[in-house]
Amino acid sequence: MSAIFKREFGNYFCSFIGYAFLTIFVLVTAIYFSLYNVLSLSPDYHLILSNVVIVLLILVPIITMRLFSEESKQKTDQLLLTAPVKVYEIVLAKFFAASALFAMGLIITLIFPIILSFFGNVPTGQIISAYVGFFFMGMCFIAVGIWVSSLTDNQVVAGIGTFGILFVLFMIEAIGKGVPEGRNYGCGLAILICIIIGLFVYNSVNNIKYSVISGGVFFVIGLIVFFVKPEFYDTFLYNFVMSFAVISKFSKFMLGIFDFTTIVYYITFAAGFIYLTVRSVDKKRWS
Amino acid sequence: MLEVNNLFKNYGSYTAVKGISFTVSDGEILGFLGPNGAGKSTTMNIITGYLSPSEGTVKVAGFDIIKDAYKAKSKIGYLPENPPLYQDMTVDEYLKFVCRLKKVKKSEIQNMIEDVKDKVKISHVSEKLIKNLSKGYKQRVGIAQAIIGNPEIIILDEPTSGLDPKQIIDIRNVIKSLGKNHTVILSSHILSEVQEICDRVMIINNGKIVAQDTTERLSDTLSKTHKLRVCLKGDIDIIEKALEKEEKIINIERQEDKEEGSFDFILETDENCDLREILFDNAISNGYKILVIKPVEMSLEEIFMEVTNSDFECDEENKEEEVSDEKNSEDAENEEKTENISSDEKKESDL
Repeated sequence: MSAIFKREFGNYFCSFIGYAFLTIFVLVTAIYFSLYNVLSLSPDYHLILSNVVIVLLILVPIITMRLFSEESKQKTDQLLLTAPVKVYEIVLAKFFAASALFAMGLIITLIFPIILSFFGNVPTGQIISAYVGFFFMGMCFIAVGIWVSSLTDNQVVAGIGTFGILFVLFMIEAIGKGVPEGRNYGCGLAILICIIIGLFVYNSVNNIKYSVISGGVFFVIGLIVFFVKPEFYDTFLYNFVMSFAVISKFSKFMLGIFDFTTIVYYITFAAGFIYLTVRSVDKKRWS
Repeated sequence: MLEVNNLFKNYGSYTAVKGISFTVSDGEILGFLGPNGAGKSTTMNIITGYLSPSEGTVKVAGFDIIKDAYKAKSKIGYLPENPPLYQDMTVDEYLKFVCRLKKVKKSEIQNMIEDVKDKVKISHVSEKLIKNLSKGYKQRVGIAQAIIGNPEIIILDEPTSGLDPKQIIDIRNVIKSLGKNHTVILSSHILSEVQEICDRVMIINNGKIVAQDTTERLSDTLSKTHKLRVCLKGDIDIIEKALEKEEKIINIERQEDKEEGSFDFILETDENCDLREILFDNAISNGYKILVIKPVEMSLEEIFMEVTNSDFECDEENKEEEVSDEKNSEDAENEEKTENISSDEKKESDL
């Protein structure tokens, strides 16, 4: 696993991608830093991180797009998949390589609050909490990017696809406000989820019995909830959409609240997409 | 060492591998022979765990390639059809990466790299980026990658493709020397190559094993020449009549003439007599001259027919397959073309 990690991380600096990522990331942060902190004489450095999120929507696809698509295009995946390494090790190694590059960018930008601290008091606690939150949020983005990259052998498609998904995540609050409320929509979504679970299981094990059983189990759970607590379905659609609100959850960190549940949420979100990546890499062998 | 049992592989409705079973014992060199698209690469991909079989099992040194994937894979070195090379690494960096991937001990990595570079003769390009190497060198780096870590089984998918004649001989020698300590499986569509290197040959067509036997027995059958390409000089009418009169020649095919004043034919006889002698006697008694006699090499497709008709081990099922082969005569023509190309390669390599 460390071999793949080293190769991927080193590869960022063999090509221009690593340098480009770091340059653009630091540059954009520097621009916000100059405008918000230096020119406006504000010590609240942590607020600018929420603006940097927009750049991340473009930068993350750039560092994740080739991770798997290039392997399958150059057929080097044959080397990895026939070597004594497990698929999840390959996926994690690539994920950590991209995360390490992202962390590197974050560490470089730490220079700005340090500069700031020479000229007055900075809200240290809030800045640290914002950085931690920002890092975990970035890991979620990277997990999404790796998953999309494993679906195609075309880098450009992977890059644009990742950007599309990240943009939807960025817009999710607005989308949440737009979704209709009502019990019928909630129930409809629940049934849809049961069907998707059934299809996912069928896709994984190719056995109609298991897929019907697993879909059915969730359907029964849904029915029980419907009879015990029907008001659950009133806001189910809204809650479901908002459970993808990766970016708006970040705002808590900006207030200096080190919210442990959000960290757990981020880790779960990333782990979910890493699991999907492992499945999609594995799936190619069975096609 | 390696046990393959009733392997099937479906791609949607198309079945690429149809029930292949075989075993390879320690230290054996097994050759897969078959035209393009016969299922050689798919079979190899399944054995190495890159693809999963739709049905059937593969056991590498007792470990199942699906259930005990980790242990099974650590015993295999694999060179796929396209060598899996990272274009933006140098040869040394790449080999080091493979060493680490295959969990070679840190203290042994340097020796291992020098050793494999020496074996496939790539030491002088070790600082070059892989993308700047020629096809032949890339292939050699691919072979180096496969033998890193001294795996017990080495699987090579068309190891000599893209190499020049001298390199082909070098690589064949490398493979032969590997065969002393390792079990080797290699695939090829070049008959002479398989004959030269392998202890045992399996002929695969349409996803099935058409025949398998030792190379000696296979080549025995093939050495009986009963088809000649000849170039004759004389009066065309006399020649044609004389040839037609000769009872032992069962088939005469007129070819395009290559030289002015001479005539080209392909002559065929049954297996029990030497056509060259017959032709010589015939030429003397009819007063024409023989300019060229050249045995016509059997195409791979003809070998299939030959092998399945003679007393080689083959299943009853395979005979049914043969019938469908005849139906696919269009395919066969295409494959013959491929074989012509490969027999050219053979000539080059024999130089």
